[in-house]
Amino acid sequence: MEDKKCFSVPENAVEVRPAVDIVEEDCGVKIMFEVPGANADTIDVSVAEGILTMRACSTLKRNGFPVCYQRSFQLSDMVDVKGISGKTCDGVLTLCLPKSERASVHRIKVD
Amino acid sequence: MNMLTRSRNHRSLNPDYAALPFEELVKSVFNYFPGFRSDLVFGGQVNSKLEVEVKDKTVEVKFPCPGRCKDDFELEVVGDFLTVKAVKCCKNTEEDGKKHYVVRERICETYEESVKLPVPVKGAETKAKYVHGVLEISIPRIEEEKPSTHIVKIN
Repeated sequence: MEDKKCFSVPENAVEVRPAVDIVEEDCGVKIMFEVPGANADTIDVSVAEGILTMRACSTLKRNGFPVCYQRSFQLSDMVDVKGISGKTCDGVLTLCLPKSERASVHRIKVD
Repeated sequence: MNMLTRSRNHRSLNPDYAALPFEELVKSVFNYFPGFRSDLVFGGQVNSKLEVEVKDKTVEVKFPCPGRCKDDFELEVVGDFLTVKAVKCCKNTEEDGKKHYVVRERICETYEESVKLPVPVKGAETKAKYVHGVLEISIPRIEEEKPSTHIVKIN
């Protein structure tokens, strides 16, 4: 993933756990986060020590305080971390986690 | 194949285990008992999704509803009552039934809510837009007539 400038969360922000859908596909896993009010500029996704963390700041407020979303998942070594991609549309962040080479099915021909 | 393993240190990483305010904790418990009206304890509408903000000239209402399109919404303003309805997501297709969901938390069903606005408004001039998954509604306020002052002379 590309390096981005430091992501900062307002000190008085209310942390909200976003709902997710996780879909397993042949080529990998797709995770969809519900982050209404957030866009590509206010979303930060990072992987450190095998843990994927998504943080996003929203334009919404709860009781006068800004809302920020955060959720983490631990990745297995079956995931190609460098190949992770994401896109956001209408308040939904979709991350595509491709399978690593190690997770690929290798068919061995028997002579 | 499970590509997302359960973290051994999940307690320290999972924000669910962060200390919740007592009110939020009790609300989360009551949600498992749909027959129990938690609004009897906390008063008012507990699960309202509408955020209403009164400004100088307008009333701003925000309705977070990600993953939809603008055609999924129906708005009505009758007097000082605003009704917002989100019909079933147009992006759901028959292919959803064929997907292998490992986790499915998102709800994309029909949702309807009515709220009485705190000040008189001009419903006919309501404007709405759907931005980044949030339906933003702006309704102009009716200008309040300034009370007239009469000086009474005592004979």
